[in-house]
Amino acid sequence: MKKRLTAFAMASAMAFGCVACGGNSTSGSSAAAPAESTADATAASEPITLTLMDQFVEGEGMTDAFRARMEVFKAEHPNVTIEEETLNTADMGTKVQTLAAADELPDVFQMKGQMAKSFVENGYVMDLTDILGENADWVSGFRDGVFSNFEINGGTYAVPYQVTNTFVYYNADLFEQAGVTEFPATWSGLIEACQKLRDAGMTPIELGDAPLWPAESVIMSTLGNRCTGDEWYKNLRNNAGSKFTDPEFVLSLQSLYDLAAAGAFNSDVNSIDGDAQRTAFMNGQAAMMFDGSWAIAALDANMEAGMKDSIKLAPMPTVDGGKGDEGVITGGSGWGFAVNAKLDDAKRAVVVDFLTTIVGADFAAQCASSGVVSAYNASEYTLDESKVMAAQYFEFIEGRRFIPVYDHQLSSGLMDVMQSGLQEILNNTKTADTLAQELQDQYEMENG
Amino acid sequence: MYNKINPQKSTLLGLLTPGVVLFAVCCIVPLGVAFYFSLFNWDGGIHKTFIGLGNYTELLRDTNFWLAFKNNLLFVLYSVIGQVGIAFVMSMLLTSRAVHFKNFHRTVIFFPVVLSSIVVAYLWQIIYNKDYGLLNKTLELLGLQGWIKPWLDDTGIIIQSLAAPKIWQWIGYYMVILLGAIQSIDISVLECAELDGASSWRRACFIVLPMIKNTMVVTIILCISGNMKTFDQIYAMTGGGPGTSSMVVALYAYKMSFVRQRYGYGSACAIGILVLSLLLVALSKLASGRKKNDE
Repeated sequence: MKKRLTAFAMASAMAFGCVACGGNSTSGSSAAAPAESTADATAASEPITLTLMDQFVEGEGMTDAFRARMEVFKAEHPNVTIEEETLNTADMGTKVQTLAAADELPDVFQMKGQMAKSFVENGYVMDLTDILGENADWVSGFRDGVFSNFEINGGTYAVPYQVTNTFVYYNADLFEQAGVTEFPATWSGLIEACQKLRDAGMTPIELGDAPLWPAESVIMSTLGNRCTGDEWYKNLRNNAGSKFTDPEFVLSLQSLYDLAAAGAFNSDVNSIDGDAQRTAFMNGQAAMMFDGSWAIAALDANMEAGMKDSIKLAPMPTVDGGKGDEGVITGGSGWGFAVNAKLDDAKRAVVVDFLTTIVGADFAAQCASSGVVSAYNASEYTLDESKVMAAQYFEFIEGRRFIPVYDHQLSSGLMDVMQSGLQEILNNTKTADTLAQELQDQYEMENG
Repeated sequence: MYNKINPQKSTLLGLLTPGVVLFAVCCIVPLGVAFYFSLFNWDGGIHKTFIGLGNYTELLRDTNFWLAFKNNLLFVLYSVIGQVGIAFVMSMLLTSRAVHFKNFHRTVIFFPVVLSSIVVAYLWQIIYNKDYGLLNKTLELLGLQGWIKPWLDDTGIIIQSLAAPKIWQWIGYYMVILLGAIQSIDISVLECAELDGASSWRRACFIVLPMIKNTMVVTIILCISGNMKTFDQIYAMTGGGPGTSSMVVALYAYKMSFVRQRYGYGSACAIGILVLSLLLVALSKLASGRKKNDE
């Protein structure tokens, strides 16, 4: 039925289009004005197909908010058909880059900060500076700094929608059982605590690194900063003299190596994924997990009310000899909505409507109610009483300084070397020095 | 008798064209395109730099590629022994008088072949799970706690852990081919041998094997080519990990192209796989051909 209706609508639209064309070509200048006004009138009802690729898969923190906003957009634009493709984050990264190489990107898609530089250089994505300028009111509602991953050479190339943070989740009850009174403040303290937890028969830290990115994104981005500080990273990004073989970065790899060598991680660290990791943590089999704010919703939804009280959040411990500030956590808008550079002008208005309808105060409020932080400021929202973890998370990030996530900004080649190398650091089959050298080789190859 | 099927040249041409065109478009053209791309330094964007055979000289020195190739060779080895070997034993059993319900057995053994590799991969991921997996639970029940391990995390056994599902899945395929070959042996030959007092072991080794040798060579070549292009199951189970310990060449080419955005180098890897596979197949043909000359 739906199909038939669409077909009917399309057919009538085509017929109408033909009439309009005919009128235009045969009539003289006197008929030009009415013809134009018909075109204007049809603009709102003319069927437009918008292709969209996103990662709002079922069960993710922002999916409900996104779906709700999509419904609003569809209701306001009955003439727009959205051809949507939804993929999980890992597949999304691969597919977007592949479609880009084939020059077949959808009208609107999600781009990772990491891809922005090459996409802009190759002219795949539209500079949104004008659109943002035209909608200054809307733009003023975004959180500070969320556009930074998408700002290249003075232009802005994506609209951020999320803010993710990473930190340590720990189970205070299990800590107590093992005789650890408080969350360790230093890396050596962490290793010591892990040994105690291990002696008490628990897995100290549960990690699911089979998808490759968690150890890098969730652990190394912060651990790296703890050791190298901000300056080293800035120089690395600007190709201004930092090397992966510098002692401060090697220290961060070595710290992870030492932690793994102390038996801190589950033995199947490289073959399980984030879901399995969270399950083990929620079941109380493991005392800690390094994870992102995206896990908050899962914890709130799946844990018993009583047990939630024992789950606490903490920033990663500092490393002895490290140059980074204590207490800072990673935070940023990894992905944003980007627009195909080859978008027809006819679709521009619809795309602007789409972006402003999806990301905004309502979206932010709904995200906040589900316990996730969006890139937009949420003014009015009510947090359900059962969302204990979300409340704790909002409090935890209040006033904290955010540092960048490696894979939001560094090249995919470097990240591939780092991510697969970290699997070997985690099972102690590769030394910190070797991985640092491999990273440096890749870095030099990419940056000449 | 044969003049009944003696078609006109035009009919022959007409019948061949769709297949040949399809093959050319789907296999030969992409190969040519891949070779063309392999001569460039190309990150997928609009700028391509011609570097001649630069990618190939890098490939020759790339230890990771050769490690991946070594893993492929290990898979070939395990599969030839596991798949073809076990398939031969099973097809001998299924042609013997000792086994009943032959059709049932044949169907059950063939069943995994029709499953998608991804399904097999997820199935075995669950079987291998450290805490809840069938394998570790069975070992626990048998009192073999010492054998329990995270099967997909130990770099020492990762290739074997991945070869097991591969073998399990494809036994049926080779069994059906070998079964066909064995059944086409003139029954009187085997009966004569039996009357002469040849044990079933001797019959298998000295009558059946020589008589199905050509089929055997074909299955081994299929096995080699199948394992040289292996990708999906490993991609789903370990993604080449931990680290690069279960990397195979096809996955390496994929990673180079689609993860690291080095499409030129990835294409060079793909051409490298083709050359190496052809070499292996040629070697196995040579090995089987030489024996024939000796006889």
